[in-house]
Amino acid sequence: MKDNIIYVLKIAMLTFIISIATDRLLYYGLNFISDKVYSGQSIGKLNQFLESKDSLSTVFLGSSRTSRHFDAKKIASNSFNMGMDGVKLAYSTALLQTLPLQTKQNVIFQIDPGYAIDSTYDGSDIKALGTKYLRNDIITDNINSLDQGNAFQRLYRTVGYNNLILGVVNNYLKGDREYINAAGYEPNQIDSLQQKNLRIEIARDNNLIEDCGQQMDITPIYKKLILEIKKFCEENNKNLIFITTPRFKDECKDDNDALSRFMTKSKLRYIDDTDYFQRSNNNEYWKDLGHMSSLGAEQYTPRVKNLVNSLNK
Amino acid sequence: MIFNSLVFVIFFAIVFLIYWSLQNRLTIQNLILLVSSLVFYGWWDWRFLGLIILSSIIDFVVGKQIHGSNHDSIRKYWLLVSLTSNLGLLAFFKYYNFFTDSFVDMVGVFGWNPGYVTLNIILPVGISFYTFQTLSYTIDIYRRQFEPTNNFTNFLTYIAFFPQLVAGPIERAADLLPQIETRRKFNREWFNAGLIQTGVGFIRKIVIADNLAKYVDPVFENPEFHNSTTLVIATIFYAFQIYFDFSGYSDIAIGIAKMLGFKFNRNFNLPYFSKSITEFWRRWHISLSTWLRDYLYISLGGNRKGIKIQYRNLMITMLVGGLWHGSSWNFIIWGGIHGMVLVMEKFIFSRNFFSVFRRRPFNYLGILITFFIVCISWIFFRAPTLEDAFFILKKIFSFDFGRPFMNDINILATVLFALFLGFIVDTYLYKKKIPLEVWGAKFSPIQIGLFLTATILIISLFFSNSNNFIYFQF
Repeated sequence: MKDNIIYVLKIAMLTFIISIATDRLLYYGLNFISDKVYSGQSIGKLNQFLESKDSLSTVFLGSSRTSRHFDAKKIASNSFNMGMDGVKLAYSTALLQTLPLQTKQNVIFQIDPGYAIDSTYDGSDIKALGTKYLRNDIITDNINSLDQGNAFQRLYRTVGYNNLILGVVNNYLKGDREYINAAGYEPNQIDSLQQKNLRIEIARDNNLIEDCGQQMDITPIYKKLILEIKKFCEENNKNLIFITTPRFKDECKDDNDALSRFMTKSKLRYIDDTDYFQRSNNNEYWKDLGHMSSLGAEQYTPRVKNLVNSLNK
Repeated sequence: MIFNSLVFVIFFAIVFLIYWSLQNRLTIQNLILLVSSLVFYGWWDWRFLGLIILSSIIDFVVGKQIHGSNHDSIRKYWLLVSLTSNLGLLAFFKYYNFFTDSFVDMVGVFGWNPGYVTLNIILPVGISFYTFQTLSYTIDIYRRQFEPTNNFTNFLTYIAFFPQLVAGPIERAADLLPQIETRRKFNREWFNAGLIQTGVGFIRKIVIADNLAKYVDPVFENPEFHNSTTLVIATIFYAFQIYFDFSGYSDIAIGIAKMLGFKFNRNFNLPYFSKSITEFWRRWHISLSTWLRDYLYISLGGNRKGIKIQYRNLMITMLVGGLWHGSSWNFIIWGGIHGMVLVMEKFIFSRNFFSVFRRRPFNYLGILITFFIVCISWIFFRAPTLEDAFFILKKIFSFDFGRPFMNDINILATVLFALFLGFIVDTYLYKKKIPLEVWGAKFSPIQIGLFLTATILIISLFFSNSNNFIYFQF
């Protein structure tokens, strides 16, 4: 039996040594390549932001409702829209903290009340910063503080490039810098298929029976993140506005009210524009119920421009 | 506990070390297997352990009673006890709501409303699998093909053995119980082969199947948003998702069992290379199809009572096979499609003038036609409701082809890469006629180290967030 145990241990040791060595080689190679990538949202846009963040006057942070709704260039000069698909507050909070200390900047933070009351939210969207985990101290600290670090990634670093490697290589070879021209703004173009789908969504939404009038509260994790954002901005000369951008329709306002109450209590400036288009709505302003089309964003731009101008006064 | 979790990896490493350090103590080894199996199952929901133990006690007693009697009526009586208790439990937990709902719908046509009759029943994981295992034990004893065991611990270990407990393969008592009752020695070739097959299984599940799910799920959840092109792609992707998901699970189960010194039967044999549905069922979920053949189809008379009865038997077997998967009309229709095509193939291939279809290039055409039929049937298997299934079919055949849904470009690229990887490995095994079960047996430690390195890196770079195995719901 002793021989067999040695045999099993030998395979385990060999696998461990070869796999760790190969992982590190691949990891440093991928870091080298990915740091030169400036196209593709997950890596390219993030690199573009990290490269230019220190000299920006205005930064837009949030989810796809940020990247699709704020035409950064038209709103403010020297600005960047760092909206990212599929992320919530944790991801953007970590990026906010990478901004230069004690430098005056405007921060427009898009926030969704629906997520703020979601008790299942655990901050796991921050994992989208996995390529910078263990490479950027601020990002690493943020990931660890939310307990979203991957124990396996400490051993096998390539986990950070999970599902990204093909895009990284492709974008490296392409060599574009697609986020410079539009300053991170990613407008939604509409077509007939999308408009058809929007009509289906509207019909479905009309059939939903919502249980409104409930007392709701912001989740502890959202409260913690919002207060962290506030603290960082107050200590580092950032003009901060939280804003909820328009939705096609929002019947229930319980979540909006809960978020407003918390913002007021925390002495934070919060603009709820959910119903911005309520009086002059048009299907062509929308890609789906939560995202404006480029036309909708164009209509919304003057409103945000005024807000940013008010910060600069 | 699920295979694709860190908890399981740690659990298995501990069990493996303790188990093999007691190599010459069969009773204690079996006890370790039993305890670890109960922990494995109880990790999901300990309350249902009682159900497995109850089922096992019944069949352990029934097996002895059948074997101990020479009177046909007494033997039949005890067999009926086994059938009613096992199928009764299965019927209650799995089919109660389906049958009551269907009944209410049916009588509703005549204007009668019996009121609220459904219950909030949780389906115990693996009940369909271990019910078929326990039944095989009593039926084999009844048929005098197998003698019962006198050791309840060994019998319970057979039923609850963790590699195959929740989603098969459905191992017959005649295959597995003697292995449990025989002293086992650590075998390096088995260990190597088991390790390699487990690695392949993890890639099939975590990398290929789970990534395909990222495209398939949003399309099948909202079919009305998509055109024919997207629905065709999602259906083909689902065909591969369920194959890699379930065959991946089977590979892990077979590989783990092999590392512990047990040989399970093959459960998948490259089914999408089948040239007919008949062949497909010899390659797909083999442990279920042979179970249904041996215990249902043959019991109904098989092909011994004339061609019409054979057609009937085929249809019944496939309808029951469909119902075994789940309590909904979708699964019954899925089984019905396969049954109908099996009957048609029996008819066609029994006529000599159709023998031309067995030759090239028709057999390649056979692969495509078989895959097409299988894909059509998968629509019923995957669609959330019967209405959705018909809607998807109608939409596909409206030929509204256009630009397909792309989803996240990184996900799509990974999906295509993963599918390509699976296709390459399967084609290699098919061309070389190498069963995966023995592929790694002769690998040197360096080769194994390199293979596992590749497995770890592929998983690191391409894993998808773990979904439960599709067959856990059955």
